[in-house]
Amino acid sequence: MSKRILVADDTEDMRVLLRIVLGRAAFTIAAEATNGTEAWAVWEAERDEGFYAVILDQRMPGLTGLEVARRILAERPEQRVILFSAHLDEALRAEAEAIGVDAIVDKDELIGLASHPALAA
Amino acid sequence: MSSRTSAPARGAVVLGVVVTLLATAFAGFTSAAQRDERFLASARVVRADVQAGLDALEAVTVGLRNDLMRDETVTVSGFERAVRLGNGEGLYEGLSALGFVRVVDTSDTNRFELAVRDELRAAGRDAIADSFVVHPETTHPDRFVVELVEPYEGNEAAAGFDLGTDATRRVAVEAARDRGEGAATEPLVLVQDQDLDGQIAPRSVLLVFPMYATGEVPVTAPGRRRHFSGMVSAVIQVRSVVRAATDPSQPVVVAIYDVGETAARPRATVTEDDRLYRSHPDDPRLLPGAEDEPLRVALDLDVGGRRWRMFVAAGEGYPTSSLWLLPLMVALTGLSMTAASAAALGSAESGRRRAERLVEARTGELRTLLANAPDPTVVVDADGVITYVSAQMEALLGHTPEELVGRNVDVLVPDDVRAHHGELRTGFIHAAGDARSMARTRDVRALHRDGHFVEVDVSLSPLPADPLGGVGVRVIASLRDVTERREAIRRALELDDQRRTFMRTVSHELRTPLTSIDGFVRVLRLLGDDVTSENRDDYLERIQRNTIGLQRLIEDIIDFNRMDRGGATANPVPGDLASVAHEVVAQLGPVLESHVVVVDAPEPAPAMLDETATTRVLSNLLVNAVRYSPHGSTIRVEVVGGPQPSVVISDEGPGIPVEDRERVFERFWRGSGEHVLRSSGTGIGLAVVAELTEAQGGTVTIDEAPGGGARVTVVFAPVALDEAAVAASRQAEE
Repeated sequence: MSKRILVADDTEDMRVLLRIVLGRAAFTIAAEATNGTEAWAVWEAERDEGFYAVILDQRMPGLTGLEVARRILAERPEQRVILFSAHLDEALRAEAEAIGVDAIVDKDELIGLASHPALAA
Repeated sequence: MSSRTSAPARGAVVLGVVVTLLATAFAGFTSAAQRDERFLASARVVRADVQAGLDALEAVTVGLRNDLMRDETVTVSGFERAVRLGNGEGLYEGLSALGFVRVVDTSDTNRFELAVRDELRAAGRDAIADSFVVHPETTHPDRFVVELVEPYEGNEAAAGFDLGTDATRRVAVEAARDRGEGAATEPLVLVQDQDLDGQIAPRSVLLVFPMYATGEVPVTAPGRRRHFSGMVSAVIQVRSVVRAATDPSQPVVVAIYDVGETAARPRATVTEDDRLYRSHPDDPRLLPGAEDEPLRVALDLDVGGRRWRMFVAAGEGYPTSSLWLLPLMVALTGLSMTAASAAALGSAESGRRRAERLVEARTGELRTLLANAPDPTVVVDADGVITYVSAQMEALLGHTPEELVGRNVDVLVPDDVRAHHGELRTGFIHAAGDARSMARTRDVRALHRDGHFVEVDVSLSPLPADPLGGVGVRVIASLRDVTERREAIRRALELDDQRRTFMRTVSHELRTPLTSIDGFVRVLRLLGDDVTSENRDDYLERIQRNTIGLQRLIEDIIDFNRMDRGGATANPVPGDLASVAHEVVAQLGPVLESHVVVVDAPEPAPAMLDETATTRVLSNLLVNAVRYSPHGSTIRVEVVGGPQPSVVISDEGPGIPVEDRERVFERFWRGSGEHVLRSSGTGIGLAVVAELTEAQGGTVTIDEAPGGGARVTVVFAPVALDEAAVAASRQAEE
């Protein structure tokens, strides 16, 4: 069975890139969201089937990636969540780690995302 | 003051001076008086300039403080960046250093040291990191540690210094913390002395501005104490402020001393006679200047809640005079007067006639001074009735002296204050007590004759009861119009804020297209031949679209810099709007692909236009339409010729509310509402449109397109007939 991924990013280019990179590995982009509010709604609506991993852009309209992660992890602490950002600062990293985000990935490292340890079985 | 002179004699002189001043008309002045007057005028100009300079420094430092305070994770590198930015803008000229101070639990000192060293290394300041040690030892439970000073060179000793270990500085810091406002550390020994440069190394005067962990100044004092997290400190270089203010053609020598807290009752504020003045307790050193017949005056400044006394003396080359105007002038500028020059009188008995002559002479001088004082002055009796008004009042509040004398002062007071104004006056008179106190009220509104409000600072001094029949202490109030000064400071801060906002936005906006370009280039390399030609085209097109986006950002930066330097220039010549419009749409190609763009430009539309500027205008408007309207919707570009050549661009987005249709042309204004959250951009696009359109002699307006979208109309100047003929003949030649 392929691994279902939820991707949330407000720029179309990023969603296309993620689709290419993850699609080449054994992942399926099962759902895409263009903002944080939508990402949370999609995750909730499909909670029964669930996602193998959730990949969230930090800076999005509506809820930020971190805010979505906080909601998801409160409901399901074992959910794999990867936070994705164009500029990583230490405070963000510390806060993300504290709430149980699995990895914080710089957008420059997007190309190697499929083989990131946080996505390994 | 001579000990032979009795107190009643002195009192008589004072009363005499004041009474005669108010009762007698000015009888004429000598050329010596004119010289003195000119000196006083330049001294006042210097004071006003120095005060304005200090106010401005205070304001920019507060701006820096607010910026840092709002940033939750303020670090030394954040401070460093902010200071560098401000320095680049020349904001901090007049400050010799800026410091970043953190409140630390003394028991936490070691951990704090290590953390700061890490922070400094992360900021690339290894040299400072290695030597950063909190010092000296303290028995206080809290410390106020200087984490970084900019510039560091020359201030090495300050890094790590605990301001709280210095008793006077601790007092200032705690006062700043509790009041939530800036405070100056005392004492100021001698700030500026032109002739003795370098002879004295004054202790630096720090202005400290408190920061709070809540991101703003808490409303209550306990809250301020609880959340106090750090400070920005500014080392004032009064020297440079004074130099900037001194007019080389009217040389004056200036020295400034700290004389106490503004809130406290001032000490004797006027010297008692010329001889004593030279050994004034606040002026321990002789001022350089003309020794024999010195022209000098003491004027006060407000700095961070402290009063600084500024001594101004005529410099070399300044015409001098034998008249002793200066202490009296001080009285009139709002400080209280202790006594006239009683020493000159000899004993009270034998001096009666001389006293009368002196009083008469001085009355004339005072009259001139009052009449020429730039700030309008009003005297009010104990019942609130106006007994004197200087002529300057008419320029400020529209009333002539004749209209006001005899009326209640409430006529100058706005309605909402009038009810308790009487109480305020009584309170001041009671507090006045020995008739030496003065008060300064900032940010007051005065009522103009035509009903509008004027923002003023008011200086109040008590004046003894009128011995010719008045009851109770009177009050002299001098008013200063501060609208302009406040406006200037507000504008400077606003501009500074705009620059910071722009820099922040730009640095974020630059990353987005770069990340996309980088991503697609890597994907193309990764895929190699393993990609369909359709996909390859799609990826290349995305790279191109982002490249155009980057180019536009860079143009925004160039535009912003140009606007900052004072605006656009355009050179409109006869041209064809229709062909420019087609050209722009073609250039933007991939950017417009998400929408249907319909160009309606059936025939040439001659207009006066600068092709480069017009291209910017139209492309900014098109990119805006793309940004703010849904994918797949239609954007119409209509070009109209004739006497009012224009381009009309309409979209199918949410439109712009009527109340915002002018504001959108302001810099950084991006509206409110959901659609804005989805948009990107630096926020100067429409400001550039307005500016470039106006530079070409055109106008731009926004209204509603049929269906509710935004419709922007840019009207250009038509080509004048003779110019059309010239253009036609030029074309024919070609």
